Amino acid sequence: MKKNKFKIIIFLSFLAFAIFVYVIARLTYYAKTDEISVPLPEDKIVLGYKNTLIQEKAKLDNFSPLLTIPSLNINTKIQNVGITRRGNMSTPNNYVDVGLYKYGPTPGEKGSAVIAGHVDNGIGTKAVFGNLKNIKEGDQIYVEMEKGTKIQFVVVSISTYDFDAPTNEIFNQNDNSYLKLITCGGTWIPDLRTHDKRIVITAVKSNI
Amino acid sequence: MFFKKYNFMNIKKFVSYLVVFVFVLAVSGFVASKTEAYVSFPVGCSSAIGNSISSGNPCNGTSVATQSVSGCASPIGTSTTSGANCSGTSVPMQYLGGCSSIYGYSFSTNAPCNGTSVASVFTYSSDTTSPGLPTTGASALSFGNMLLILSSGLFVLGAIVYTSRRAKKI
Repeated sequence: MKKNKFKIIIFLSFLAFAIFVYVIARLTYYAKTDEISVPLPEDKIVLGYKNTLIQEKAKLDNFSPLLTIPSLNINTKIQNVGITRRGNMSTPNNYVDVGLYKYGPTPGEKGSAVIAGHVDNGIGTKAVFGNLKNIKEGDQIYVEMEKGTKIQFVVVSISTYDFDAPTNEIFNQNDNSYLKLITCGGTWIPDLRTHDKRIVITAVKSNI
Repeated sequence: MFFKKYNFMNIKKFVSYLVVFVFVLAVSGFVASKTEAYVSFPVGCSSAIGNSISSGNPCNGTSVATQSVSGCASPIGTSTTSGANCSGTSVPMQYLGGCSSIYGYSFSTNAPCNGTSVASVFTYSSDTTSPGLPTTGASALSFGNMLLILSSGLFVLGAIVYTSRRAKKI
């Protein structure tokens, strides 16, 4: 009887430890996304397919597309992200990677390649873009979508938008090769479970 | 031999740890749910119009319910005919509680965000050539989350102390 009780206690201890590890991982690493498939026009489908192929090719090369911002000490993997069921750009499934909007251009192509990253995690500490607000005009950003092919961008503007602002000028600026980095700013709105502002960094492609 | 030395009081102690753990978890869960809940209208109401579907009381908080506004298909926005606020409030409702757009379902109530009985799915059209901005923060949930970590951590600590004491007695 006592032997069984002791076994139960040992089992509960392991269970508690597993819960503890899970809670830590869930709050500091894995991020919730509610990405879904939505009806898309043909041009978006083509772009999505192309960016998916790039990720698949990188996997075959045992490589992950990378975003590097030397001034902020950021060097992180780029995931592909789509659209949430609320019609917003989705986000990466963890707090350490960033997400490229796969239905837009690939970084380096003409148009606006948009990358989003979390500003903080479930316990309120800084995530990958926690210091993005400190970036300065003129700072350099590097994107490596394919192994050995590094593209350089230079920051040209730092803007703040309302969380529900029209996004046409962010996603559809097509007169050059832009890279747009987005993260949350401002204050949290509990009712809507989102921050009230978005920080948008615009960088333009330059020659290395 | 070992189990003869086994002190039954320690099981009680351990169970008390467990009870505290469950209690703290419950409290943190309650706090987290309160943080996430959206209460701008009475229960069973998605606007100030009409009566609560759960209690039957007027949704405007008075004794007489406000009638639906003509020219409105949902509580969101203003009437297409009179320009009055469709929600029956002094400020037009931009989004329903727990919604950050008119698409999909509410975070808090799971009701369609367009204010009708069927949720809209985001589609590209001549008006929407780009998605909405992403949601990239989670810090507001941190208080409840910290309690979760603390409580599960305390429980693990209790378990370690208990098992190490048992090991010494072997």
